[in-house]
Amino acid sequence: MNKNTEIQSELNDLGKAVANLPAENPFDIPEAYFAEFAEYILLKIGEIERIKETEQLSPMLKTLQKENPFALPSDYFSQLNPAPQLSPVKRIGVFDARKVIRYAAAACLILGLGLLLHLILPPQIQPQLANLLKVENRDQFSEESVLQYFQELGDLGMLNAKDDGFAENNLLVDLTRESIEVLLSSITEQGISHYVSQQDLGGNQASYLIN
Amino acid sequence: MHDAEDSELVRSFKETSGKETAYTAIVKKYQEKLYWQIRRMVIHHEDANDVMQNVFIKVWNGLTAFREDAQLSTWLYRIAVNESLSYLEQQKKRTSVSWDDVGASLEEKLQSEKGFDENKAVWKLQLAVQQLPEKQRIVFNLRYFDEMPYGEMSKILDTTAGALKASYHHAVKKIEAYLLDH
Repeated sequence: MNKNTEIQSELNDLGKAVANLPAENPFDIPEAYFAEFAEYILLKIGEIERIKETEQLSPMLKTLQKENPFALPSDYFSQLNPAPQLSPVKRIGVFDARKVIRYAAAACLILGLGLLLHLILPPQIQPQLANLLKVENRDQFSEESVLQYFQELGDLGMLNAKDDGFAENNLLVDLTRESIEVLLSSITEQGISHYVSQQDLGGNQASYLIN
Repeated sequence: MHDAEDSELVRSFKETSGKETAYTAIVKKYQEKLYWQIRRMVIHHEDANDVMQNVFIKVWNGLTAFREDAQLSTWLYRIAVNESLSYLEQQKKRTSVSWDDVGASLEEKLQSEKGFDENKAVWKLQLAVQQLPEKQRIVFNLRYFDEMPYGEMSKILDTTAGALKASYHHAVKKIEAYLLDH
């Protein structure tokens, strides 16, 4: 006869009402209580042993009350961690007058230079100049485009027709001072006069160009 | 007859190197049985938890001197029962409740438990158990819920098996009477 049967049999003899009741546990316990209890009790024991150790090292300490004799300003802890002070926010305006003036001055300067160039340079050169300014790397100029440029100058009478071959053959490969002087000497007075008459320049300016 | 596993755990505990491991194994092996025995005595979980801590601190402090004259389980139950009774005694002193009123106090505790329903048989049985005198209550819990033999119970409670059997019989009769009346 095993134990359970023995107990049940005993209950049957003593009282049917109790024997028929389930031996269930109606109590509720926190979740994971048994899973954590062993660890918890070991921590507790460690704490107790540390206290015991101190008491054994100095029995006198055991007799002393664990009271703090130090005074503390009232509300010290409530003021210990005040809300963090935020640095004032720097206001940045959408409209910055100084920047606008600076950009406006730069724009005026560029426009002024552009206008000045427009007034000084002959209208025929301006498109070529504009093309030159657009190109950052002058090494990329093709020989044909440079020759075309001088051809146009020649068409305008600014270059002696006889020197076209010189320009074609030498200008791109030899831009030394001497070659430039030779090039300039090839510009005839007739060509300059023709240019001046086309541009309708004043007499002073014309004489300046000739001299 | 001694439990070989328990003897090994006790021996390991006494060796300093395996102390915590052996202790943890003992706690894990017996915590549920002891908890429910304590819980049925003091009713509330918070009280049972306090008693459990006291029990296992005593086990830690006393296991080195444990001579294995009795089984480890018997020794643990004895500590648990004694600690439960001490706890109830302290509560009685604190609240100036006489022993006659302890049952009523425990009944109130029971009624404040989560999920209490006096119409359910399991709760009605618990109410009936709280009407018993202290010793009969312990004997009934150990026998009815833990299914403990009278021989082992007699070692825990230092009472003869015959006296315990008589106590159990009285307890069952009183509970039956309570159930028929309610």
